[in-house]
Amino acid sequence: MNKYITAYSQHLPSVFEYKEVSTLRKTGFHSGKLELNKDSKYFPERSDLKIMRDDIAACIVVIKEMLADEKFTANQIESMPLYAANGAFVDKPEKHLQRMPQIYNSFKPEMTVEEKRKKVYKMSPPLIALETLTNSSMSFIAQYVGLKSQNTTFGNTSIGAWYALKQALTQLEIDTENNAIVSASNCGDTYSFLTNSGVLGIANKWRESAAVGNLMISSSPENALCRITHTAHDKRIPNLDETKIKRNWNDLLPKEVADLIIYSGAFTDAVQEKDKTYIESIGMNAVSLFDKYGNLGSANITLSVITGIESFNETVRTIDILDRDVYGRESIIRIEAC
Amino acid sequence: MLGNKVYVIDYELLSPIAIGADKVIGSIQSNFHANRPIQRFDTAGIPFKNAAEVIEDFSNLYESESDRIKAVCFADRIFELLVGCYHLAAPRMSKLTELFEPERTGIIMGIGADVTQFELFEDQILSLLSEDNKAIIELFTKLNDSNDRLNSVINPYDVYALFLANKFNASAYQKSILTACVSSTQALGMAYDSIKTGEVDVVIAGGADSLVNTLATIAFGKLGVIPDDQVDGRCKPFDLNRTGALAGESAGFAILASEAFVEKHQLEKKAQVLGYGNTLDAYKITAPDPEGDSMTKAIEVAMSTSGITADQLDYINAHGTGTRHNDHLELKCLKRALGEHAFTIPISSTKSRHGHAIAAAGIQELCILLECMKHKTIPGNINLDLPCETDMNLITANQSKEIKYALTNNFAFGGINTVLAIKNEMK
Repeated sequence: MNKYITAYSQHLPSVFEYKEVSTLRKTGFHSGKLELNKDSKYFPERSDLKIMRDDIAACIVVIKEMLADEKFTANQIESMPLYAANGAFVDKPEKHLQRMPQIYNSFKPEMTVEEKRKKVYKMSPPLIALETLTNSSMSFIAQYVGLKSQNTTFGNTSIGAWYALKQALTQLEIDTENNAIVSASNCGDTYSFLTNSGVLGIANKWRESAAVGNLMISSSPENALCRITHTAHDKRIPNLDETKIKRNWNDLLPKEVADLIIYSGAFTDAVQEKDKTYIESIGMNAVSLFDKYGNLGSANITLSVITGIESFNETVRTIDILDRDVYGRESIIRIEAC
Repeated sequence: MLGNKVYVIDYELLSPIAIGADKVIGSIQSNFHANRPIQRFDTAGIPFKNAAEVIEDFSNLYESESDRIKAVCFADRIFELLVGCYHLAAPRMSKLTELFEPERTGIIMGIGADVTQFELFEDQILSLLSEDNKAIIELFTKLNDSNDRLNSVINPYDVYALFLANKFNASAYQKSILTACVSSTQALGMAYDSIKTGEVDVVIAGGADSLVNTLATIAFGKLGVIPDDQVDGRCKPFDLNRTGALAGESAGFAILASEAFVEKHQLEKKAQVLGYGNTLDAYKITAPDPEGDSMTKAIEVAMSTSGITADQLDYINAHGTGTRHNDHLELKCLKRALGEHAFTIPISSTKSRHGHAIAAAGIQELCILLECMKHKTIPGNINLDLPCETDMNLITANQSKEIKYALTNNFAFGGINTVLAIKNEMK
């Protein structure tokens, strides 16, 4: 049965900076940050912000705007499935990564093990378990929006959003519900760099941004922005012993050529250039959000879909959304203008 | 398309009460519990002394692995538990694995928050201390400087599913579910959906997690989930004087397969996953909805999708963490969902024995349930002196009784409720 995208919302980074990470190894990355819309009537409550990442706060605002625009009732929202995709779960390195050295710095040579442990205990943030909760994005969205139905959080590389979208499609097949939400937010920042750069073996010229992209998936063509006509992903099992990038997107593309490709996966300009060369070699018109924002992690796919929807015109009617995660897993979603 | 039945054809568990699923029943029947002083790190100065820890050295299980895998096992306890669990099962499952078609076989793993065991690296941290407070960043940078896709610490959570995918040659997908205490329960539910809709024939679904390290113990202790050493340290689910959860750790997985796959290869069915319920509270991230509407609905949906009625249930394996709010609410919701039958169905939580393994709670408790089904044993609530609800059948001793139909419940921080309905298929 056909599935459609009937609404979307996004929050893209607007502040860019270079962040040094390791002083000793001189590593760092170019980071895109979200400017939060604190004046929004949907902005989360102060008490929750203590334990909420910025990308989640941004996500709540735009997802509520999306649902308000679509004029869904509370009852309709309550029964909508929610599938989230998240990247790293730790933002604010000064709070999490730099707190521990402060504790160790407070040790004195004459201290016993017990005295040192007491320091660790006393100085550990009381809410750290909630601040780094892996499902906090999904649970906060549910709390603020009123979603009470089927759910899960996939993570935490970019293919998580592809799995989230596939789960939404599956759920709409087996459920009587007409609509499901796919919500992807990427926190980026230092922890994400430390995690993902180690996997890819890249220590410099890294570009990654925080970002949010949400999609409303529907079984009904009414008010549809596009139709999802094809989904596929790479069936090779990533080899954990090597970091070489193998490009096989061509194998996933349907025989009928799309009018445009939007692709993601690179974290550096050098890899992006090779991706571009590969896609040009298969004769496709292609664009990528990387050029402006760097990698958008778990929000790569939903934001490329949104860019695709906004790119439809008289000549661009079908678009392939391609992504590759840090383990080299490739995926495709084809959307067709309605 | 939805006619496919979903069977459990094998399972494995590495738990504080049993290194291997086949060791579970002895532990249950002898009322062994793993609540004991923490050995992995020095608890001096920290008011939380006990945990359910796998104290046995099981590194011999994975001695055939590469040095790189062993290095990750050293630093990442969750990874070590999973690798150990895989090797427990590998000899027995090798023939079964040969039957899997890679593109029709998927992996779904529920994984807990990655908490670095800083206690392992204290000397290095001290040597890296500087005015800019970057010692941890420098440590992570140094530890993760390798030429492969494995980090020594802070791996992307997908690494666990990818490890199993390589072992089981499962190329259909490798998914990671990150929903705290219901992670592996949801993994089993999503596996059920995937097989039921014909997406794949086989899913290896489970989870791994550990709370037994300094930072995680402190974090959950400060939240008030784990009792401090000033109170009765026994974990007492459903007791009037319960004081909190027992920190735990575990890894496990079940192999779920379609009816067609099972019939084609004439495989033994251990159990059938009949259905599941999965809801969100939409209340507060820090507390469950006190009315329990969504928790009740999760139980009701598990029942309705499974096609069984409350009078058929022989046992409910409760989430039963031993915390004040969870236990009270869970019983309230069972009453709402199951009506008069909630008063007679035997209910117990096994967490007083093996602790709360968070993301691995669901798979650990499923494996225990399956072993109890196999050996016709209903596990009692150990440490239950004064039941908090006297009108319910909160059994205090093990019972020799057949379990044909059962529910197994898990509920998570942030208000996620996932309930599986299971049918015993063992003869």
